[in-house]
Amino acid sequence: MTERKGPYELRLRVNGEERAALTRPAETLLRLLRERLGLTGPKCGCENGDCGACTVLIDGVPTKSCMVLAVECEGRELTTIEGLRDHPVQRAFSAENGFQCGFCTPGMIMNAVALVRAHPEPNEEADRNWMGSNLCRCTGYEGIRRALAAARAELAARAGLMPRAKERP
Amino acid sequence: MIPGDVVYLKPESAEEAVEAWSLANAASAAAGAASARGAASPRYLAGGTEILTTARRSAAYAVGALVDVKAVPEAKAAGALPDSLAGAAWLGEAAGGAPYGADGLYFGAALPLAELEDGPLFPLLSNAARGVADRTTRNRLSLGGNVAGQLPYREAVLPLLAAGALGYSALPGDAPAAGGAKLRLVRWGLRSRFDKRLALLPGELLLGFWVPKAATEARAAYVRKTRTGPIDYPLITLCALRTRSGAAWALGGAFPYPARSDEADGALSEALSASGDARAGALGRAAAALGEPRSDQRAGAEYRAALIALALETVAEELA
Amino acid sequence: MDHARYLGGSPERTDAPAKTGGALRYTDDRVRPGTLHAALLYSPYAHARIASVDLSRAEAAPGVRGAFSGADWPDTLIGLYMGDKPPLARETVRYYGEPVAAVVADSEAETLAAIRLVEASFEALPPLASPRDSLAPGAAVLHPGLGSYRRIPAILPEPGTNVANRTRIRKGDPEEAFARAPVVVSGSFSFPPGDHAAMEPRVAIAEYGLDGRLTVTSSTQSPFGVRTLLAKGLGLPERRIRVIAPPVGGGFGGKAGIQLEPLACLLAMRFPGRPVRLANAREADMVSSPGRPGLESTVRIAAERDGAILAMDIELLFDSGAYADYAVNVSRAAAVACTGPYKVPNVKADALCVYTNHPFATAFRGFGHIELSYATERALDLLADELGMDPAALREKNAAQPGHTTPTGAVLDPNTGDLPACIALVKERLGWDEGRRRLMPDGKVRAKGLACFWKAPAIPTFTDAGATLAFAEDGSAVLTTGVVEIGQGCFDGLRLIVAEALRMDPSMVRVEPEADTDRSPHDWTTAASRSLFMAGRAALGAAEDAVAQLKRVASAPLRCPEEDLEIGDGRIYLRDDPAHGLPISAVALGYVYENGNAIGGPIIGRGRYIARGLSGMDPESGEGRPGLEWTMGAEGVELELDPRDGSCRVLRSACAMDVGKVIHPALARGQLVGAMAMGIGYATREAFSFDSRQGVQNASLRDYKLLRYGEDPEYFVDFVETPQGDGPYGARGLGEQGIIGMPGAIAQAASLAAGVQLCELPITPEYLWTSMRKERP
Ligand SMILES: Cc1cc2nc3c(=O)[nH]c(=O)nc-3n(C[C@H](O)[C@H](O)[C@H](O)COP(=O)(O)OP(=O)(O)OC[C@H]3O[C@@H](n4cnc5c(N)ncnc54)[C@H](O)[C@@H]3O)c2cc1C
Ligand code: FES
Ligand code: FES
Repeated sequence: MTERKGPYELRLRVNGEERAALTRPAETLLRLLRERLGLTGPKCGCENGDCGACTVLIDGVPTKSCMVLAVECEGRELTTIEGLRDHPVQRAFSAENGFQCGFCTPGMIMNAVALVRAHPEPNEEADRNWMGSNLCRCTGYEGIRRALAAARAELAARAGLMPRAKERP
Repeated sequence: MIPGDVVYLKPESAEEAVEAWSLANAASAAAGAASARGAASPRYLAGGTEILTTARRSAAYAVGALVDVKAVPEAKAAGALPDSLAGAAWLGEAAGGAPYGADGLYFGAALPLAELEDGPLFPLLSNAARGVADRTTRNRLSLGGNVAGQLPYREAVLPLLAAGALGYSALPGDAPAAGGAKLRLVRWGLRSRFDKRLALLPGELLLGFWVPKAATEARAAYVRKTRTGPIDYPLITLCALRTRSGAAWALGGAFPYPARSDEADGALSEALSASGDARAGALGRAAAALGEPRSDQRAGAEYRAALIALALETVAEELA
Repeated sequence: MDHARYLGGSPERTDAPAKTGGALRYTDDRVRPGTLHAALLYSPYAHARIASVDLSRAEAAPGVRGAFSGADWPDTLIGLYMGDKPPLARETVRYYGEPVAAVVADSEAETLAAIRLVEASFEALPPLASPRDSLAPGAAVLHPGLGSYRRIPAILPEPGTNVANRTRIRKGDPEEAFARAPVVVSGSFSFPPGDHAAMEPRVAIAEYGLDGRLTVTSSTQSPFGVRTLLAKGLGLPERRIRVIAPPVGGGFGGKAGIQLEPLACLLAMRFPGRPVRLANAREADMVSSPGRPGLESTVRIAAERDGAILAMDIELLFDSGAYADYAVNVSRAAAVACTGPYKVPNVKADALCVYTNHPFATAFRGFGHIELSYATERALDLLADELGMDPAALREKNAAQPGHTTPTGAVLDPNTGDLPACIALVKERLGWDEGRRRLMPDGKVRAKGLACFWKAPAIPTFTDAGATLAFAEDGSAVLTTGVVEIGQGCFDGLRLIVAEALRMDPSMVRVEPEADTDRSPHDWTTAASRSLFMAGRAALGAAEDAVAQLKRVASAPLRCPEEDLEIGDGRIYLRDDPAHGLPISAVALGYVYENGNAIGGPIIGRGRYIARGLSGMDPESGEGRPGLEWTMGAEGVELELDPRDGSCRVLRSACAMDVGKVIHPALARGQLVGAMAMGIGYATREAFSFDSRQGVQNASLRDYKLLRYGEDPEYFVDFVETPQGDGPYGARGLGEQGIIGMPGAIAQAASLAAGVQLCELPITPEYLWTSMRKERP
């Protein structure tokens, strides 16, 4: 049985790196990332599970980091927006104006990265189901919709060009 | 965020879990005796979506130790009943529903709703799961946490109520300190233990639900209505199954609790075989059997009643 | 000038890499170690006398550095146009969510734990639940001090009542017109207040330096406004205050006034040398910080049988909530534009900003125009009904055109947009003439609606903007303004304007993304859709000034008169011999001759702009010219209603707007689409719901519903370009307008689908269902 109490040193794998931070078991992953690890890409829009601005990937699964204790993530592989480097989804959000103020964008992109991985083919039903998790107050979702299509198209084109195993975002 | 301090415990088995709960409970009782404000009793932690949101917003919601149930094997299992539960004793009297030994499917309490949503095993449960919250939240939010939670909605329990599911849980043993059993594994009929809420005993760890195969394969109907967009708490959620004797259904959102009754099942069953005015009358009685829906900021009682009537019509058509 | 090279192109936004990379640092991403954290106790009552506030247990809690209540600042009053708000409530609380006490501690966890230990007790008072409640004879007067509050002269409060401002419009002879009109319709229209719900909750980090200067970094749209108001409210001179405005995660007007900054500063002044962070949780951001006003209104229209409008009689009662903030100017702006974009020769209008016990209201995208539009557009629909006329035809017939006068009597000049063209475009997009109402085979009903809007920025007559342009060694240019990036992409528009003026590739122009009152040229505020217009004019001026200086320096080594020089593609060259020239990089920081002699020095282009020819309004008749430029447009929707349960979905939406000149098409479209989506939310779901004691029941994003992915309709956007003579390259503002017509268009379509005129917002399924049942029980 694992037991954690008081201030303790938490070790995590974030964006491919081992990181350690002094924290309390009561701390959420969102606050740990932002306040202890300097990863301010994930945003706090509600701390209530409603907006999705805090979305990160835990073992590839999009998760609202305000709804998870950091301590629950020991031994997991975390990816925040800072861990993406020129990912096709990022490029598509840039090219298609999938953002305005940009506050929802890190969460939106993390969810979209997982979405196009799980559903490489265009799939309106899956898009609604997944992207409904993230609020955007600026764009009316038009640019985001275009960005999803563009990202899928680029990923498909790449998959055709090179062996699938190499297509690691 | 939880403003106060908590102790986090992650047991690897049901036995460790109830033991961890008992020890933490004893510790907090001792601490509580020493402080004027009392101490927080431990809680099981599954998806955490209720615990984290409530602890942040409400000073009255005390959190002491959190016992994470996500590594308990029985709580993660899906499909076949875990062998360890084969010998679980009936809690209280052997309840109605399917007799033990019949064919059925098991769903662990710690399964995230997204997994149930994607799974083919019990389509009505998949539908009900898909209705709750949003996809990303469902990647964490668990079946057991939804059923055991405090919110009025608890939509995932509706298909289980309609199906007459059995529940499995672990209870702290009677006298572990004196060398007695550390835990008791029990099973029970969900309907018989569910009156507005599932009344869990202190320290009781919900492990999962068993649903008769026939129910998972029965014709099903599902209606969910919200105030505006789909991602919202429901005004009504209705889950219904065709049964040998007619139909069984449960209703959420309309009351401060999920509701069902034998009388309501009977009336819907009647409606299935009736037509015209007789059918309308039976549907009216089905709705009336569960009582007046509530009025709140989301909708008035009249509107909810109208939605229930429309939903029952749809359900009757789909099941007939 | 020859053909535009860069305007009208849509290069990728300059902030794209930072925003899609998660690297952009908003205010709350800049917390320094050692920062103190503040938390507030919020009133659970909408109206109550504060019986006691006991801070002692909180003060004794671990990590706590101090605890405060209203008594700590007994005389301080903060406000925007009128200083009516204490930083922490004193004696009474006037709204649900009003800050009552503050705790400052070393960590946020400690401060949140400690704030729960503050013990406050209240004696509840009956709350005022609507403007009409507040205006009723004998209603409690929420601000007995109204007569003595510091205020600007344009605001006309009525002491002894709950009227924070009244704006009167008297044009022509409405009484006579109503008396002789063959057709008169009238209706009352209303909706509750609501919230901006920008995705970034408000936050302010203040530090009172040991040098006696106050620095506040804030999620604000208005760094200079905050500086001025802090100076007034705290009694410090402007020179001792610095306001830094990092990019903002959505504003929509909600961050345009003064918000958390005064309290953050007051707290910081108790802890010199340590920054104090005051951050809103979402729930507080929704109710404790200001939202948007609600409305109660009555509109009467007198018309000829052919639909020609003779007169309007308009009463607009804005629910300002507990404090006046921007709402006093919102109601005034609504008065200025009260008839909507129509030719109305006779007008009587009263726009009142009324105190109630609701959360207080500030500017909101559209600034009073959604409210007035909803009211007048609904009344026009009643008129169309009465006349049996197509609602679009009624609007075409009365469309305001150059030469007509506005409600304040200002003449619409030739720069005025082409409304009939906009109406035609929207009709075409929606297939208007193919029928407005259709019964579908599945029993659902599809219906279309169309509404028009206009908007002039409601700004002080002396609204200004400044800009400087400097150069780097590589010849690239950097523009500095006081504009705040709030998502609108204004910087990209400014970049194109400068690129165009320097005839330089846009990638060689950078716009400083952060406003800082210590460094940026003065700028009134990033609001009223005027940044592109005014900062654009300033930027243009700075570029022209820089070009003149560059030519002057270059003329020596090139041995020619300045007038013979041309600038383009990063070079300065002889117009008639382009091969003979110099790269800008060789001149911008001074030219160096071969022997080492240097001339010139760093070029700094200066540009400035101030609103032209604006005047105040006559207090009795409203006469004057308060509106700078008028942006006009039309919007429409097609929606589908299920009459069985009232569920309703907007399928298609269209907007056509005369923007003068499209500078950056992709950004312009993005602004409109975003505003249209917000308008759909406004019309169909967004509003506070109050319990019987006027507590807000839906103060969270769980309960206050915003449009989500998949609920968005198909969008059609068209631009009409009637140049704004004095706008940069003919452009005028477009950031807000797309929201204005939506509620009216949706209400018209939903009313047509439901067969009953809907007078309230939001138009939820339940409201539709109930209205239909009332109509035919
Ligand atoms: C954004 C959002 C939207 C939502 N929308 C809906 C909705 O539409 N419909 C709906 O029904 N609900 C909705 N919910 C509420 C949600 O149902 C609850 O938060 C959730 O069900 C709790 O599940 P969890 O696994 O996260 O539980 P936790 O927060 O981990 O636990 C909840 C409670 O159950 C107890 N518990 C958990 N597991 C066990 C166990 N195995 N044995 C004994 N006790 C246990 C815990 O001790 C705690 O008291 C929503 C929540 C969020 C965050
Ligand atoms: S901050 Fe996590 S969902 Fe909003
Ligand atoms: S870009 Fe501003 S919230 Fe999405």
